[in-house]
Amino acid sequence: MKGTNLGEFEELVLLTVVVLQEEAYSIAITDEINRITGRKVAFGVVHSALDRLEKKGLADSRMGASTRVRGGRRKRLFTISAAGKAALLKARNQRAALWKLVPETTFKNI
Amino acid sequence: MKMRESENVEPPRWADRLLSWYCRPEALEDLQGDLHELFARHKDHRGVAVARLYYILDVLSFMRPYIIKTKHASYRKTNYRMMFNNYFKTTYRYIQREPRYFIVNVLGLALGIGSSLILFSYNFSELTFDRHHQFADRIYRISVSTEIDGDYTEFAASPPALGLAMAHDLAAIIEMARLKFMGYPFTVIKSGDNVFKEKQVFMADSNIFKIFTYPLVAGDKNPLEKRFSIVLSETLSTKIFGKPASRASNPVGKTVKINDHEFTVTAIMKDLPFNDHLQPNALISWHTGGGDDIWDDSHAYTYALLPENHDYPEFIVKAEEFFNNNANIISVQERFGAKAGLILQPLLKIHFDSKKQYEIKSGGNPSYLYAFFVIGLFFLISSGINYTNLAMAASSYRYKEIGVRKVLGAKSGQVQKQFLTEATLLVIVASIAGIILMLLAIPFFNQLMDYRLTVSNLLQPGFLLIGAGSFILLILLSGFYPAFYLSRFNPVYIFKTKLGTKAGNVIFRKTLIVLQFSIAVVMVFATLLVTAQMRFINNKELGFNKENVVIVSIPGNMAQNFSAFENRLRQNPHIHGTATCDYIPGYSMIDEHKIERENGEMRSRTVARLHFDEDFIDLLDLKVVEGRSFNSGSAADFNGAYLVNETAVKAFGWDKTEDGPIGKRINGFNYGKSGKVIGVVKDAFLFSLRSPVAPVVMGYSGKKFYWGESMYIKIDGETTDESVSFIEKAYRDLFPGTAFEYSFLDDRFQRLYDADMKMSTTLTIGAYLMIFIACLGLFGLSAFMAMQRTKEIGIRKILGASVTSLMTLLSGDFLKLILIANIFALPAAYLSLNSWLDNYAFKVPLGWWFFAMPVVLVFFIALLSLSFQTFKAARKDPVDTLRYE
Repeated sequence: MKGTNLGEFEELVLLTVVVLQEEAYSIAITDEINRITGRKVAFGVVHSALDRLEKKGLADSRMGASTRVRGGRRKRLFTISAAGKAALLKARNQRAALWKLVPETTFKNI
Repeated sequence: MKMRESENVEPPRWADRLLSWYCRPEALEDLQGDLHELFARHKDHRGVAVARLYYILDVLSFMRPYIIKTKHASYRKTNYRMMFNNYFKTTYRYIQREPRYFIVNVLGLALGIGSSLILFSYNFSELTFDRHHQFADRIYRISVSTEIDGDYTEFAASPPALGLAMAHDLAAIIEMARLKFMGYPFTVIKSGDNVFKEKQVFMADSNIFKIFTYPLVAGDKNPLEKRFSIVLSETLSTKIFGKPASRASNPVGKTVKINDHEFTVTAIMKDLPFNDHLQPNALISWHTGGGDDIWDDSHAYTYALLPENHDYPEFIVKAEEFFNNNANIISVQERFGAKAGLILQPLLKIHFDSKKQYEIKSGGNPSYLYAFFVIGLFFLISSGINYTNLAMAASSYRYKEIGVRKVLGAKSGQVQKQFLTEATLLVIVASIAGIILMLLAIPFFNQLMDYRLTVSNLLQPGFLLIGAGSFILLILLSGFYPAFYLSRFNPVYIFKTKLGTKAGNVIFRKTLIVLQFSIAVVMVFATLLVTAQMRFINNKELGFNKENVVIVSIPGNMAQNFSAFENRLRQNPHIHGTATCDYIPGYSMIDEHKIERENGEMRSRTVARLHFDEDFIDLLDLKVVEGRSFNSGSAADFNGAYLVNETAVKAFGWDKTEDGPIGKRINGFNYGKSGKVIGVVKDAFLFSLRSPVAPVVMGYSGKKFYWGESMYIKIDGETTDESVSFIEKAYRDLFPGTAFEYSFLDDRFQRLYDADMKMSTTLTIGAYLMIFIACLGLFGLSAFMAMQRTKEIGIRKILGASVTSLMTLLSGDFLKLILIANIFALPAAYLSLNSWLDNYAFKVPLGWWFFAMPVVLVFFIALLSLSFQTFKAARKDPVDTLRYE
């Protein structure tokens, strides 16, 4: 098994999954990331990140509703798992701890 | 138009298909849905063309490891190895339910494996002849050829001086050693009161150990330095001195006597394997009796060791240059009126190219190799066919099992695996049985073929590879088709219909039976032909009487007792006559002679020669058709009289001269006798029937001028045993200390065709086995067929069919196949065996019965094995058969 470390992009995707709640499927996630970050992230990249997250046990998936535009095919909906939550919290705490140590003067002139 | 654009436009079909082809099923639905959604979005924003392009690019870009289908992706969690347990169990149950099927199968396979392994091991041993020497591929034998008057002869040995000179002058020769028979064909070795008559005792140069790998187990490192030293093989040493169990009985340093000389044992060497062309029993130092400056007599087997990476063609050129310019060779050529040639034969080629005169071990026969290889393959194929046929016939009882398996989710790969497992299991059991059979058969085979197969021979890596190869071949041959055929069934079809036999499979099965019986028919034909040829040769009118003649050899050093021995024999009323001759059938007796031709010129020619006494002609019922026979005790005849046979008269053109053959001059310069022809003997087949009668010259050896080594004793056929023991007693009294050995003349002649005799016996046994295996298959197959048609037979019986008509019905199919097999097999057999017959100058005439016999025989045996089952099935009470199921 690969390490369960949360990469930067994976953290972004996982956070988006949390934000989108019931509507978290690959295309919606891609759109949301692009809207928030202003980047142009490819759909395939998000798809494979979701697959990795699921393999690492940080996200769960189930099949959701189908629509006509999808040719009657169902969506795969993602939710965050307990391990995923722990990983997100850990990442945030680590950063917060680092932020505390940053001298205030560093960002004075921005 | 617009409608179509906005609503009905779909992504490219092929890209969609490509995606569903490579994508693993669990991920397909949502991914494809996602892509369709994206396609719809792109289409709305940027038009159909761009959307299509994006779609295609997306499909292509998703060919990533985590999306691509793996082989067992859908059943990843099933542990299919577990199923093997089930396969074993099913096989076991199946065996229990159908023990007859199991026995027929394993017996057929085991016989096939055992027989083919024994044939392959013979081939292996033949092909590795002389290979056990470390420098095997760098050793060459120096041989010579002579051409006298267009008559070309090759000799295995060469003059002893030749080897020495070549080793001295040619840089490429690192080592050179010569061997020479101490006594031919036997050497008598004495130790105390014990006398041993040993073949293959050689005088050898001391550096023979540097050329050949003769491992020494005890004694000196360089044991042939001193004169009168002898190296014994382990077997011979044990024979003479008993087991060297303790230091006290160590034979090194002890002495033996040969020709009244004492020889000291200086070393013991390991026994050489049977597939060594020299296989010496003892070696004696060369300088005990071998000469170094003899140029005119070829009796030294000379071997040269060349360096690694030597240039063979260049070596030959240099050696021939040396040979052709050597003054000694030139002078010998002039003296003999011959053209001599040099032959450099690689050691590894000697065994299969040994038609030379005075070859040490009669050579291997490549046609046996082919024959044995083909027959071995035949065995494998035939027993594999048995298995295939039985498994497929039996499969009708397993349709349901396969159906249930498939419904429960078995894939065809798994059904294949099951049947291959089953085949493998049976082949393993059969291989074990076959190997045991082979081990049991080795002594029998050795006796039959006069060969020495040993278990250690079979444990060599090369042979193990052959064994493993045949094992895998057999598994594939037997398991492959049933496995494929059975796994293809559609479960729906199985349960819906009552399965009979499908046409395709029946044709395949029939083809196999035809093939199997074709093989059997070829073997039977071969057996008949070879046996008939052997009988033909044995019964052929030879022009003399070979019956009831005992041959004993007279020791050269006790020739003075010869007259006493002869007188004593002649007193016995059961002994009708005695004669001496220097020829025993089976040994070559050829020499150079200068012979007067039609035009009076004396020219040399290599011809067969015999020397015998005045009684020999009468003893063998040879007829003198012109002139006279030798006069008893005549010194003139001894010194200058020759008899010739009719062929010689024609060969030298004497029948065309005015005064005929009598008085023509013959000079046997090689043994110092010059004389004239006094009579002509009617042609007789004194030599092998492989060749037509050759010219023979015959000289007088006389009684008191004892020359010949062998005594021919004519006895009456009634009291053979008593006569032989009488001869033995007289022999022991008059030649004390000499081993008494005797043979019969007719046996001796038979031994000339020994190899073919052996072949004939092997073929006979092989043919029986082959028919047996084929009939085993037929037996099992007919049982299944009869069972399958149980109901049909019941109904036919009720409608009034008789037992005979039912049996005809059931056997008819098979018998037709066997007829077809005959049609294929007989021409093939005839063509291949005709070339074998060409070896003989005299061939048995091929009658119609050669072709009728195999047909009738195979037909009859097949009918017999079929009738067991058909009779049983036809006799069954229809009440029982119709209630069946």
